[in-house]
This record gives sequence, structure tokens and C-alpha cells, in this order.
Amino acid sequence: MITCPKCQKREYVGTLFCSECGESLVSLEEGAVSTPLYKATGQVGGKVVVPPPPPAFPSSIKALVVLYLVAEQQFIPLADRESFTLGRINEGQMIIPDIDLSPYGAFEYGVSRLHVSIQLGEPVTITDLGSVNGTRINGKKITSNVPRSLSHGDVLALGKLRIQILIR
Amino acid sequence: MDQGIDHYSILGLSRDATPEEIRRAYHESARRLHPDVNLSAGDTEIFLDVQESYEILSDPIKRAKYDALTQLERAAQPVGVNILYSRSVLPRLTEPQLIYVLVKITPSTGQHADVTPPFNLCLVLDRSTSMQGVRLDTVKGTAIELVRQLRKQDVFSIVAFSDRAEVLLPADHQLGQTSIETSIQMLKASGGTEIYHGLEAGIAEVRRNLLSSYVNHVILLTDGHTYGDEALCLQLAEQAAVEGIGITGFGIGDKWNDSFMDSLASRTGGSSMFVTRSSDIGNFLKQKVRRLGQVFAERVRCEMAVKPGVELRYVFRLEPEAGILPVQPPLYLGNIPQDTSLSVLMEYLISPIPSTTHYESLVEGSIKLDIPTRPVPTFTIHLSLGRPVSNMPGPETPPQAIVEALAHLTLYRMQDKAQQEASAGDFTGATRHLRYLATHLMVHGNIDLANTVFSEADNLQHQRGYSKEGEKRIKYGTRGLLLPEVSEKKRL
Repeated sequence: MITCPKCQKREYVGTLFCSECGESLVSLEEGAVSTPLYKATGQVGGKVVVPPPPPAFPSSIKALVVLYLVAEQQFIPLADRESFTLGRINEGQMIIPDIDLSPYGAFEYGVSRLHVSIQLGEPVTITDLGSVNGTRINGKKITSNVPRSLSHGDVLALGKLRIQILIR
Repeated sequence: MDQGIDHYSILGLSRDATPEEIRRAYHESARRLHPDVNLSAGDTEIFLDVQESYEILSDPIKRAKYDALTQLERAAQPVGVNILYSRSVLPRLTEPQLIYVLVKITPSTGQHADVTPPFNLCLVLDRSTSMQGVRLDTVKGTAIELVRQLRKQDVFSIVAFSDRAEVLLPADHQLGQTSIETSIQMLKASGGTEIYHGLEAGIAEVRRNLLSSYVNHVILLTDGHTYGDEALCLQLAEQAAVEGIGITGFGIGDKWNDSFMDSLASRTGGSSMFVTRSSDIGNFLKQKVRRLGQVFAERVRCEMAVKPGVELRYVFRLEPEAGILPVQPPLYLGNIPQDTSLSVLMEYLISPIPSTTHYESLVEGSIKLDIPTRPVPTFTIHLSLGRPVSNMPGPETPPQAIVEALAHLTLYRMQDKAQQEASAGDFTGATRHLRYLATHLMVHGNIDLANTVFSEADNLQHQRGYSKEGEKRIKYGTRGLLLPEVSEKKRL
């Protein structure tokens, strides 16, 4: 059996989503049967990008999690709620992302209208919402609709828009 | 070259895989199966197959040759079958484990004949008192419109029912256009809802022209609860399924019994749909009839024997119409439209695998389908599902298509769970599941549905019950998520 990290429900090996809380167990299932020999690394099928050292927290920002736009050297604090969607606003669009990346060249970089969502929890996680150009964490492409955890200093690429995650 | 193996399916790839995907699939399999790191017997043979497949597919010239060669074989087949597994190799475990299998049946290219099969359709209309007003008027208007749009070859009949049934339009072309329209116009609402009478008369009408060159179907439209005759109705549906008659159920408003309608329709491979507003009845009906006119293959059924130690736990149809199907064989899977595929996701529970087993067979059987435009309609595809077993398989990521389908399916199952808990009086559990569900819907960007779920969670907590309307909205809303995005776009 495997255990859901969110609600502790016990599920059969091979279960991909927790039946109790709906949490994705995809990565967990790998761990349940893997051996050290086959430890998953980011090296297959992609270049591993060593993230540049993250900049220091700007003193004016109190938020625990901050997005740092690498090219623009801008900070976007994530505060006051637990879940944020990132994307770009387009005319006549039904669903508006919480954070609009249009001012940072989102369209040119290939950011989808609803690209990812970020959950502030323990750990902070990111879910690609089926974006057209995909999302990479430190150069490794992630599967859509499967949450991945983020650590301080991770560099995201939404399409080609690079954002570094700062976690206090 | 051994033609027995499909080089694409060995690497878990689709026919249109890019060179990069082929390379990645090979590296992943090789990492897992390479003789240097792998100790369990049987894996080396698989590795050799993988290597051979990669040699062919990675070389553009060899790949084109292989494609051309298999193209001939494939073109002779009216449909293509693509099978994906959530794991390519099963770990040998001393505990039970789950595996998901996605079976996708697509009409082969070149099979899109200009001729579409005629349908033999009966519309079974509820005329009980509650239909009075806009509902019945819309239904009448739509029925007349449908009669006017009939193609010459189609057979169409109408049955109206309340606590008894009456054949408004018999299933032959004897009546003149005007008299048909008059008899539809004369329809008045009165009486209660007893589905059995209507369904029985409707099936009898379809039976009069029961030919495999037709798409045989009953559309049942009701707004009420039927009492006492549910079991009889289900028997009728089972009989209809055997004879090759499909049933689609439309429920209007909030009074009808959705779980009954679901089990009724799914027994024949059909599905039930929820019409929120009376003004939508027309569009829903017309769309359904249009789709019946575009059927490529019907009566897709799966006759199979599940192996000992293996249990089929769920069957979900993802497209063309999303829905849960019964797990008892034979499985009636419904129709395949010309422009889309039929995709079915199955969940199997496998008992602990003994050390003597190197290949775990899941099911053995066949899928049969009727293609009405062919001289001999019935076509059979052999179906054999199974996976190799290894002591130490490496980590692998399940195919994206399965993960995406399950992400949505999990939401549907959560609402199902909440509904069951609520009807068993466990409101705390139901509220908790609805809250989880709403959070996921938010993340997926389904803001409207998420808000409905949130407000139903509040209803549950404070009033100890769902609002009937909200309950159905959530059920059919989450079910709608199961449809792949592509086909959703097509429909717009």
C-alpha cells in the first residue's frame, strides 16, 4: 500500500490519484517500488539547468513566497491567499489568472492564458494546467495536472518565461 | 523482421510519435531493462525486442518502410485499436496492486465513407402533468423539426407516455407530413410518470425495423421520478442491449432520478444527460439525433474473460460520451462516431504475483462492433491485455493521456462518494469530499462549477442535504470534465 501525503489515506500500489482528497500520487507510486539503482534524475531527455543563486529577499516585501522574474529583475509577492494561477489576460477571456504576466512579455515567451497554479503549503507546489508550451522546473519538463513541489531558488520556465521561486 | 510485434506499442508510443519521443521512450525502457542492471529472468528478451523496435523506429528510412508495410495491414482494418497501460512493466509485489488500461478505438482513415447509416429511432416522450407549459411546447416543436429534417432512409417513431403509452407516430412511412404534425400538436400533458410503459412501447416500435444496417436507438425524455417499475425497466434495457438497441436518457429539471436513468442507459452502452433549462431541450435533442446520423460503428461490445486473480473494478467511457459503464460482461460500450474515437479506461486490481509468473495476463477476449454500412456489419477485434512482470522495475511516469483522464475521473468519483455519503447520512464526510472537490475544480480553472460545489457543501452542512438541482449539476458537470478537450472544441 502507499500513503497519500496529504490526507494519509492508504491506497493500493498503482493508484494514481487519492480517492479521498484527489491528490496526485503519480510521483509517490514511482517511489514505492523503485530501488536506489534506478533513482530518477533529471538527466534523461533534458538538460539539467543549475539554477543561478537566488537574489536576496527585497526588504520591502513581507510575503513568504516571492516570484522573481529573471529577465526583468522584478519581484511579485504571493500573499493573502493559498492558491494562485499564473497566465496572461487576453481580450474576451472567461477565466482570468490571479497573476497576469502580460507586462513581462508573456505572449512573446509563449505563456498560456491559464498556465500554472501555485499552492502555498508545506511544501509549496506547482501544477501545470495543461499549458501549450509546457512548464519546466530547473530545465526539466513537468507533466500537466500533476503537482510538483518547489524549493527555494528553483527556476521555472513557463514556455520561455523564466521565473525564480523565492521561499522564506 | 518479425511482423508479430508492434514496434510502437512495445515502446508505448503512438503512431505519430516524434523522433524525440521515440528516443526518450527507448532510453527509459533501456534504463529499466538493460541486462547490466537487471537480474530478473524474462527481461532480457523484452530488452531485445525494445532494441529491435528502436533500431527500426529511430532510422527514418526503416521507420517509413515499417509504416508502409503495416499501413497495408492497418488499412484493411476498418478500425484502429490503441492500448495504453499505466505501467509498462508490473512490479512483482506481495500485495495487491492497480493497473489502468486505456483502450481507444478509432475509425481508420479512408473509412470515412460518404454514406452514413440510416437510423431507426424512437423518441419516447414524457407527457405527464409536470411537463405542462414550456417543456412540452419545446418538445413538440423539436419533434416537428426533427420530422421535417428526416432523411429518406431514416425510420422515425414517437411514443408519448404518462401512466400509459400511446404511439403518436408509428415506425413506418405511411403517414403524411401534415397528419404527423397535427398529431404531435394535439399532445396534451396529463397523468403521472411511468417509464416502463413508454419504454416498452418505444422499444417495440424500434423492433419493427430491427436491422443491423440501421443505427437502432431509443431516446427517452422525462422530467419525473418513476415509481415501482425500475427493475422492470432495467430488464427491458438489458433485453434491448442484447438485441442491439441503444438507449439515451434525457432528464429535465430536478425531479428525475439520475442514478436510475444512468443505469438504464449504460446497460445498453448509452448514457444519460441533464437538461437544466427547458429552452435547452431542443438543442440537446437535435444534437443527439445529429450524432446518431453520424455513427460509424454501433453496438461496440466487449466479450471477455477476466483472468483469475484479476478483478475489473471500474469501466469509464471518456469519449464520445462520458459515463460509467457496468463491469459485468459483456460490456456494452456504445457507438463510435465518424469523426471521433471511442475511449474506455479500465481499472484492474491484481492479486499478489507469484514468483513463477513472468507475464501477468489480465483479460482475454474480443471486441465486436457493427458497421452498418458494410455488407457484413459485424467486425471482431481480438483483445488480449497483459503486462510483463519484473522483480525490480524502474520508476516510470504513466502516459499523459491516462494521468489526465484519471485527474478528471477522480473528481467525478469524489462527487459520487459525497453523494453516497450524504444519502447514508454521513454529512461530515460528504461535506469534506465536496470541499476537496471544489478546491481541485478551482485549480483546474472550473470556477463556476467550483462555486456550485462550495455552495452545495454549505447546504449539506447546514441543511443536511443537497439541493436536488445542485446535486445533478455537480454530477453532470464533473462528468463533462471527462471529455477530452479536443472533442469539446470540435463541438463548439
